[in-house]
Parts: sequence; structure tokens; C-alpha cells
Amino acid sequence: MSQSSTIDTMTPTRLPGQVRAWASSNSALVAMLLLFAFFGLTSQTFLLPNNIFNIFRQMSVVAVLGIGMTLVILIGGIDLSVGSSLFMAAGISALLLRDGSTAPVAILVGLVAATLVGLLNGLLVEGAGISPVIATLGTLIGARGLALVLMDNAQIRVTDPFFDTIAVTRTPGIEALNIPGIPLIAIIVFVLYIITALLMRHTIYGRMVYAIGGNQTAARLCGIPVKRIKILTYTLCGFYAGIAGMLIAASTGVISPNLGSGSEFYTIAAVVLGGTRLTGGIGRVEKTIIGAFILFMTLNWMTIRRIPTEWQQAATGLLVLAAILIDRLAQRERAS
Amino acid sequence: MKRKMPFLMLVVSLFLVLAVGIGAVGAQDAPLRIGLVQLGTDNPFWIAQVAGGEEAARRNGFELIVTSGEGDVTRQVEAFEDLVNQGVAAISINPLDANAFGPAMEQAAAANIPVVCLFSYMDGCATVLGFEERVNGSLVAQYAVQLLTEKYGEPRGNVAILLGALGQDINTNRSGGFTDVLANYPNITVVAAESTGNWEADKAVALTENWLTAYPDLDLIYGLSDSLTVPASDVLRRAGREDILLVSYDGTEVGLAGVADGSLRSTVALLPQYNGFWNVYAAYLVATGVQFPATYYMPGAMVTTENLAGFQQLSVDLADNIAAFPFELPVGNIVADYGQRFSN
Repeated sequence: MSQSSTIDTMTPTRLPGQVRAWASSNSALVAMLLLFAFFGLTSQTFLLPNNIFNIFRQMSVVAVLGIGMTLVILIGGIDLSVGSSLFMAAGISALLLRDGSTAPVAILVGLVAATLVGLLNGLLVEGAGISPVIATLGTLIGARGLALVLMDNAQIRVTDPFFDTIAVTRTPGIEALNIPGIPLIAIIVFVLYIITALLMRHTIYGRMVYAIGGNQTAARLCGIPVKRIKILTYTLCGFYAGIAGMLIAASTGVISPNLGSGSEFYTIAAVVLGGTRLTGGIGRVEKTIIGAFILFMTLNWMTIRRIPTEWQQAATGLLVLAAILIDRLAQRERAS
Repeated sequence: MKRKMPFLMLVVSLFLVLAVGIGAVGAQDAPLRIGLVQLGTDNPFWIAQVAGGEEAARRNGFELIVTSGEGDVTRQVEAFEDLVNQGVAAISINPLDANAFGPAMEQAAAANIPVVCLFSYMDGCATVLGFEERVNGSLVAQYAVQLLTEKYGEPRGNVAILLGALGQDINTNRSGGFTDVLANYPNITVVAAESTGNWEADKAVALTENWLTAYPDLDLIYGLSDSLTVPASDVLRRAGREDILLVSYDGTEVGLAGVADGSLRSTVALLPQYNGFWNVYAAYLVATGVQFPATYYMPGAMVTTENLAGFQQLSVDLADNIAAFPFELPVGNIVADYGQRFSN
């Protein structure tokens, strides 16, 4: 095949090499900036600081799910059960709060429940050798079912003042410039990203994850405890889903039987938009938040610009396909 | 005149019940057996439906056999076929998937067992029962018009709709009935109507936030389910925009609590016991030879700030004293009657 000649015609020659290299390894960031500029030029409302902060808060659940999902995808796996783990955590916490528990206890138990779902995923995949898609599809159905049994299929209202505080608290704003404060939920998300990004860069765990994702056999031969690291990664993914569950409980205030269903789709989309390779080994946690921001600012802009709701779904799908396509092209360029 | 109507209807329907009852008892020694095939058994709505159905059996002296598919269409077909084999007098079924019942419906027809279909049409149904979702949507719109008129002295304002899943009948009807009515008011504008995906609460939150930014002069939001409007009410409260009116649909516990604390102005209650009574009672009537119209749709009850006290009493009576509940009356009359007797 004359693959190299195809690539030559596609390579822009006017850009200096360094800029080109930077743009190709940061395609998610470039795409985000271009889209942001376009949205800002076509809608003044879009650029209002309060609107940007709204987007931060709206993407928070998918962004937090995306942290764990990125890790799982980096080790060459996938976790379809995040929406159900999130629901289980939120449902159990809401139940405990309704029955008189204090917020810290309710949050702790909810987080433990979601973490256990993650652990179960890890054991099913690494212990029982079930493929990640099948195993986490099973827990997707099972965890939601179990939570529904516990909740007696009813809607549960979350009125705890602590949860309400999480939802309403903002940093002080700048009144003179009419800039409101940043929502606490957004700050929580950014802090989680910073911690995880540092974890991936500066700990042995982070390096092992990339080693396993890059070449599992080689990693094992180097003495890396592949199974344990993979189980730990699925468990972490469950834990992050638990945190996302707390955030969704705070922001929606009512736990309905379908809460969080389908969020795995948006989460995987955010990870892909962030440039993490679905085959594992290549990607960065901090880029997933860029993917989540691209997704949610697009949805926000479409609402503000009054794009019909049917078109919004189609556009979201196209966006993800475009991301995969761009990623493939960038990959080929690097390969050459 | 208005007050006499319910009484007259009560007399008429009691007479009907009595006549049919005597006829049935005269014809058979053993009590009639009626089969009910539910979607599942573990949802409070379904449990309440069965309670209504059992009350219909008690009042009319027939035996009710309750089965369900537990969410699985294959098991539902099996349950249906079991009832056919047992030779029940009629079957009332809420099919999980109407397409899966072709052969089973033929078996019932061959055994001369009439089938009452709930919420879905299938070939061979004696009648189709359901909710007047579209009419209910228009009731919500009338109340919304009333609220906007109170606010401005004339019917005008900007309205947004939190839709459910696109393509579903209940989404089309709940929103269509609403917009049909609003179309008659040129100064009321539906500025936005957007889907919340699969009735997702977090999407309702995001949409409400975005609308507050995009349409600062919004007056009213209609959400097609309490699971959407209750989260929206939290957004309005946190943003200090409780001046925006919220009207809802479903009549769930959280929705009624919202009407009680004023965060929602209204919701539509579907009265599952009432619905369940008629699902089974219709099968009984059909079994005893009463002709039913091809479709028989039951309206819901508008629960508003004004009639909430009456509705709460109605719910208590349904739970504690179902034997005395006037199921034979039209639901609108029952709710109106309670509203008058227990005004706030």
C-alpha cells in the first residue's frame, strides 16, 4: 500500500514542525479551542462567565466517571457498569439519609458500595477471565437491579442540607465585573483530576498502568503484578463512580430508577474525545476533562442556539465519530 | 345540578353492576375466574393496580388470578398461555411487547376467552384501556394558562417544556395535548421544548440551568414527569428564580410533596388503584357479555395547590378504606367531590 504517499499529501507543510507536532499530540485541546472560539463568536450568551460555570457543573458527573474510565481503558479494559455503580451509590446514600443517617455515614457507605462493584468487575475480568464488556455488562444490569430492590423501586428525595450545600456553594465572585463565583462541584472535579494526574505521573502505580496497557506480556515478564494492578484499577473506577453518584445526588436532589443510565456512553465518548486510545496504553487522564468539556459545551451551545432536540442527539454522535477519525489520522501521521 | 351528577351516576352504575352480577351468578355455580397479567409485581404503581383489581373482584364476587412477566416478555407470554389453559372467563393484560403476543392471542380466541388490553393495541382485543395522556396534557395547559393569566392579568408569557424520550407515545401525548391548547393563545410562546434523553434527571437539571441563561424572561416550565420537574425545582430555588412556575405530571410521592411545599404548582395523578379496578372490572364485564367501546381511556386527576388537601384525603381513603371507594364514578367527579369537601 502507498500509505506514506497518502499521508504526505495530507500533511500541512506551512506550519513549522514544532507547532505541528504540538498540535498533533494535543489534538483534543486544539479542537476544544477551535470549537470554543466558534461557539463564542456565534453566541454572546455562551461566553457569559455564569454559562461557562454551568457547563463545568453539568459535565461534572461524566468528567468524574471519565477519570476511572480512562484508567480502565489505559489497561486495555472497559467498564460499562459506571452508570449503575453511580446509581447504587446515590440510591444507598439517599436511603440512609431518608432513614436518619448523618451525611458522612451515608456518603461513606455509598462510596463503599460503588467501590465493591468495581472490585467485583476486577475479579470477574481478572479472576474469572470474563471479557470486560461481558463482565461489566453483567454488573451494569445487576448493580442497578440490586439498588432498585433496596429502594423498593421508588423515587427518593435528597433533602440533606450537606448535599444541598455541595450543590449551591460557590467561591466569592467579582461583583464589579458581574462574574459569579465558581461552583464547588466544579472545584471538586478539578481537584480530583489534579490528584489523579499526579498519581499517574509520579507513582509506580501510574507507570505500571502504562506498562500493562502498552504490552501486557512484557509487563508481566518485568515482574509487574499485572492481575493485581488491573483489579485495583477496576476498583478505583468503581470508587470514582461512587463520587459521581454523590455529585448527581446533590445536583438533582431526587434519585429516580433510571438515574445515570446511559452515562457510560457519554463517559466513553469523553475519554475518546480526550484522545485516549481504546486499545489501551496511550492517553492521559487530564485530557478526558477536555473531552468532557467539548461534549458539554456543545450540548450547551445547541440549547442556547435553539437547535432542535433531535438534531442534538445526531450531532453528539457525529462529534464522537469525528474524534475517533481525527485520532486515527493523527496516529497514522505519528506512525510515519 | 353539579352536585347531583355523581349521585345519579352512582345509582346507574350500581344498577349496572347489580344486574350484571345477578346475571353472572345465575349462569354459573362456581365464581367466574378472571386473569390479570401484569408487567411486574415490584413497583408501587403495579402493587396499587392489583389492590384496585382485587377490590373489583370482591365487589362483584369473582375470583382474580394475578400473574406477571416480571419484566420478561417470554415469561409474560407463558403466564398468559397458562391462563388460557386454565380456562379463565377473560384475561386483562398489559403486554411488555405487543408484537410477541400474536400466537397467544390466537390461542385465547380459539378458546373463546376475551382479552382486555392495557395501554397497547393488539389484534383481537375486546377493548383497549389506557390513560388519557393527551387529555391530561391539555388539562395541564389549561391550568398553566390560568396561572399565567393570574400573573399578567391576561394569558401571556414564555413557556419551556422538559420532554421525556423522543418517539415514546407518552412523550408525544403529554406534550402534544399541552401545546395543542397553548396554540390558541397567541401571546403564550413555547420558547423551548427539549428532550431529557431517557427521562434523565441530570439532563433536566442541565436544561433548566441553560434555559435560565438563554431565556431570562421565562415564566413557566412544564415537565412531563415528576422525576424531571423536582430536580428542576431545585435549580430554580438555588438560582433564586422561584418566580418561574413549574407544572408537572405523574403524581408520584415526590411530586405530591413538591405540590405540598409549593415548589411545584401542579401534577397529574394517575390513580393506579382506580386504573387497576377498571382493568379487571372491564374484563369481568366483557366476560359477562357487556359490550365495551374499542378504546376506553381514563383521565388522570389534576392535583394543584388548590385541591391538594382533597387529593391527600382521597389517597388516604384509597389506602385505608378501599372497600368504600366510589370506583364506578368518573375519576374527574371523584376528585372534584373531594376537592369541595376538603378545601384548604
